[in-house]
Amino acid sequence: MTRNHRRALVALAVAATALVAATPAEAHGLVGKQDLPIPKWLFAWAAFVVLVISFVGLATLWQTARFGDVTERRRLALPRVLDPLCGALGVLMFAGLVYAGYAGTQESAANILPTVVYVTFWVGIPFASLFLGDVFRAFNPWRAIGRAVGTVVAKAGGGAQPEPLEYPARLGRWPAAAGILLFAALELTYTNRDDPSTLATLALAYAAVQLVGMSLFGVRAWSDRGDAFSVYFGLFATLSPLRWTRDALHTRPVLSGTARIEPGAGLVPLVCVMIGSTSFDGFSVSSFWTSIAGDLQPRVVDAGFSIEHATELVFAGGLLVMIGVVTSLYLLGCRGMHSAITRSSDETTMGLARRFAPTLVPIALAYVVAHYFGLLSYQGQAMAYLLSDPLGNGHDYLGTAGSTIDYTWISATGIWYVQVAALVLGHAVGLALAHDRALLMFSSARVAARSQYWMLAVMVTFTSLALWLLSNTN
Amino acid sequence: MPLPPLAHAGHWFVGLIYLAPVAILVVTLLVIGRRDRLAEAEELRRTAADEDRETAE
Repeated sequence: MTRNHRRALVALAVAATALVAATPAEAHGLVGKQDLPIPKWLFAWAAFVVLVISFVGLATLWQTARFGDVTERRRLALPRVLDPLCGALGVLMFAGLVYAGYAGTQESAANILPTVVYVTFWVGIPFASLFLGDVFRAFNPWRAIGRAVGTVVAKAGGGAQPEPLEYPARLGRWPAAAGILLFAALELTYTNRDDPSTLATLALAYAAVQLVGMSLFGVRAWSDRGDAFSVYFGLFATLSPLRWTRDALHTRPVLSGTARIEPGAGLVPLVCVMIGSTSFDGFSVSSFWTSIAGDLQPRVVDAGFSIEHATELVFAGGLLVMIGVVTSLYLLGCRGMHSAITRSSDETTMGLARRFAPTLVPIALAYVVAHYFGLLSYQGQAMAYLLSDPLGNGHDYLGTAGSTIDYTWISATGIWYVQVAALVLGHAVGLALAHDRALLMFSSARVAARSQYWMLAVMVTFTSLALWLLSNTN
Repeated sequence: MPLPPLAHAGHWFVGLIYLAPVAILVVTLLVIGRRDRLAEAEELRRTAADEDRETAE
């Protein structure tokens, strides 16, 4: 057995152990709320069959690359004032939310800021990006401030702006990956994550970092690479057939935007953080994780930490391990791909990982839909009363302060079906994108199909992982 | 890592079922990969033998 084989087997064993060992003992939890005609594990098997059939269909019916050279169509001219207007609206909303965080009630459920951050912003915008394109870019308050400052500086300097530094290619999307990891850590590990004034302070700190980044490297370069949320939402928006520019709305073939994502430095860690953090969000509410955390926490306390900090450290460790598992699974798939095409291509395993990283974007979105659709469906309705009383001090500006959340509009069974459909569709789309990229990269359709055997394994693994996580959290 | 309670063994078994498609696929891919490598080695051996024969002639 060669060293490479041993490494692959060890990585496989680690990934498999993580999947198996993480099976929770959910005997007394609130499982089985859904009224499903078949056991949940059968959905995983059905998803497996669908993915294998999709793979065979792609290999036999999709023989030439379709996303190599696509053209966009300009559909609608937009007034030039629209972009600064949306930006100004974004700045106003940002300022209003920060004000609510400081001036409003510090009871998280009654203050608008926590719900906007964790539901409308973090979950709602990915959904909107899929259907409407990059809406966040238009309303991005940091970008709007940066552009406004740039315009003022240019006018003050008689039309000449100081040249920004060249954005280092090696930095790539690493700042965005770090930013999303920090936000995930805030959401999933920090004990005071719902505290409105803390969130307001963190929002201001994030804005300050973005303004520094834009002043150093230019608004566009930093927004496209360094601004974590701009990059995060922008990746999801590539799945949309709509693309907005400052003066026009364009349409493009579905998925062609994702196929054209530039696979530069930092993209692999970014997509792995996206998938891993969502996975840990699901895993962290399972009884198995509760038992692990309950076992580890006293040991961390014994090491001298407070109970609060010990909990945060244990959860942070769990988050990092989950991201590590997702990254290992993906790299293992790329290693398998490398072994399948080693006679036909000079690409290294890491090179393949970078080139195929955009194909994980639909999977990351599928994970978001699967894990947060219920949250958005129910908690999203809270915006009706929070908008009417954003500070939580008893006002009723819109007359909807008395509205409540309707938990009956969609059943738990309905949510489960949406989750399963999103996962299967997301992974099938990932397979199609990977197949198309392989056709562009490799000499023949046969080699391209052979290279994708292991990507199929990656997709099936991610699907099984997600369905297993969901089966334990629903 | 805490040991799983025996009372929940049934749920552990159900959890394994989620892993089964992955295991089936990985084993299949390993078998295919091994078969491909053997076929390639055989092809290389035949090519070398043909070349040796041509050189001898």
